Amino acid sequence: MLEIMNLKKYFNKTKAVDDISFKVEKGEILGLLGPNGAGKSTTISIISTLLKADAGKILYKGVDIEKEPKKIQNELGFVPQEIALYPSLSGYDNLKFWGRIYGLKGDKLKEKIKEVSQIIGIDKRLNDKVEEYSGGMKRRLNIGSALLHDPEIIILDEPTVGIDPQSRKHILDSVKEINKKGSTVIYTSHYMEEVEYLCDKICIMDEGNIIAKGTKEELIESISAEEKIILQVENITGKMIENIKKIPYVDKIAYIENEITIKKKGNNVDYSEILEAVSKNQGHLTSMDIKKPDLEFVFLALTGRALRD
Amino acid sequence: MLNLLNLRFKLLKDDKWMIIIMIAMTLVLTFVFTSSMSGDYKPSAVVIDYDHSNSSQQLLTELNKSISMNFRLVDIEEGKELIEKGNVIGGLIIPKGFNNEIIKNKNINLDLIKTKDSLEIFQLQNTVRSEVFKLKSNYNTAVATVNILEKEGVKVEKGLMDEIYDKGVEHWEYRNPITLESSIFEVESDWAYNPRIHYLVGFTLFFATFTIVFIAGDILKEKQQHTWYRKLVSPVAKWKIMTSLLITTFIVGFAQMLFMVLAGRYIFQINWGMNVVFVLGIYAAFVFTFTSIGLTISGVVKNYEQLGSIVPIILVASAMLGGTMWPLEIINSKILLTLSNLMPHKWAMEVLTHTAAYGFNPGIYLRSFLILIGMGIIYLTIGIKLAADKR
Repeated sequence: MLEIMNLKKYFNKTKAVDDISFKVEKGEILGLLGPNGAGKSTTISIISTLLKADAGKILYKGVDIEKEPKKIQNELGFVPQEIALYPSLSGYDNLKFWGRIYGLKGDKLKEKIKEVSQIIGIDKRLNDKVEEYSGGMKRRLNIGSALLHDPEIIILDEPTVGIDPQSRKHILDSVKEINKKGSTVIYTSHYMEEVEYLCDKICIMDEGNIIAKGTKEELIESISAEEKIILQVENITGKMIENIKKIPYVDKIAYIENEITIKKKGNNVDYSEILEAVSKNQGHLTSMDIKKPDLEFVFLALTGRALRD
Repeated sequence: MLNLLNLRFKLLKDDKWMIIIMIAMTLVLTFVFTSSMSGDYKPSAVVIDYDHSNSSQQLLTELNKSISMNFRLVDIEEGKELIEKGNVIGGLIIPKGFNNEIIKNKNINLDLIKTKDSLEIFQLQNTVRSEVFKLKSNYNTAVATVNILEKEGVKVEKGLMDEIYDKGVEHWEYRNPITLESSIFEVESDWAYNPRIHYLVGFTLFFATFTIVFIAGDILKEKQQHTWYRKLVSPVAKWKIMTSLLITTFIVGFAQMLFMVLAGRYIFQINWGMNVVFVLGIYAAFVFTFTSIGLTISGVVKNYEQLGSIVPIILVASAMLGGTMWPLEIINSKILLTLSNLMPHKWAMEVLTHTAAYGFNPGIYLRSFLILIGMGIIYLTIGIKLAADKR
């Protein structure tokens, strides 16, 4: 359905997207996973025709979208990372405007507004001004505005940033529901668990490149998956990290705030060595988890950094 | 397109207070300024008469009837002293031979003593020019009438000429037939200054530019709200998105102008001197130009806050240069006068004030109209290029 070939985009000397290629098949949910600045938003901005690529080609149903942008624009539902709504208008007026932009009118438009507002769970607050909505409601309306015209392909750019867990769950379930109705979805996020929960296929991006792609299982398989050890430690120091690195079975290590993630190698593991390294460096261990490999772990294995570094 | 226009009109309610304030400011300031021009304050000037003739006496008599200025006959020394101390705004010198120039219908040159150029000096020149013109015209009329009567064999009684002259004076009592030019002090000049028209037109243009530029600047609000980019990835053509913004801006700016034209007619009792359609035509051209300028500025600045800080500087400076706050005729600097040609205000002011004073002149009207449209097209081209930039 969508084929991205050797896409490149530079901002001055910064390589925002550096020669990436991937395919999206009809009916699947593709996740673009990566930390902030990985190039996810630039990639989908090019796919949605907002930006022009410096090199490469994007084919939508076999048509080059740079030459015929209308082809994808008519069938695309685009949910930007930012809330792109008119705050002084009501939720209803916003939906009505975006619906009419895609050619809906009359009873059909009213029906779609009703349907979509129920899906996103704002039907009871539809006549309130958007500026009076909570952050989660705005996010949901932001998504709803892209669904009115039953798009064949929906692009969601980090749609859950900065919202409460309840709204987040609602959004993720909505995306699944939309996909079940037949829409193809491209979903970007730096939340590994969202991508794991939603996506059939995943591209992991970092510094403008796709460093791995496949299903979740394929990705984990690809790094000869091992368990990972997660420590919650108060007072992490550089020396503590250095000491842990020296432990023979420690392959890679990353830390963020009070959390240390360790990728181990081999099965001969003596956890007391880790505990000793922490306590010797005045660290206070509050918890220790042994986790099965996940996408976070894949990212760590590929880049040596945690996904949210 | 209708959907886009409908949206823009709905969003206008966010700007309603700005529009109301701009209209109110125009009305209030026009009222305040025109009131102060016609209130109790009357600047004083001195007259130094070297001619000591009937004509110079007559001129002094007419000047003393002025409702806008006080005149006092003094000798040159006293005159200089009063001017230097700032007790009077300036002095008129009636040179020897003034009477002869009136009788022989020659060009009349008068001298003026002043310490600086000001609106009051401008007013003095205007008053003197007007009175001298009347004096000269009345004298010529009286002479011509007597000559005709004598040619026809009518016995002209002694005193008839004075009687005709007085009739002429009476005729011009409440009219202002001629006008003035600032420092080039020649009676034949044809420039009239009507503060009421000047301030109404000036403030209308000045405050309307704020409304227009800020509404055109809504493109920046949309970019900040990210709705602009969402529209750009929709199937709606970019030219429709842009046009809907321009049309709304134009309609609001024009409505403000229309309101002020009607206010001028019914509140300030202004006779525009031409069909109201032509008045609105010039205002429409001006609104078009500033809509385009607003778009250009919006393309240059990064956000609405930056627009808010830079626009007052641009608009006040351009309004000053364009002559909305004072007549350009009192400006001597060639640089400023050259720069004024680049200001749309100048061309709108020129045609509106000129027509209100002298009536409709198709040549002047067309020139101003085309210059405004030309400026508008240039800025529109630049503005679309800048503002349509995606990110």
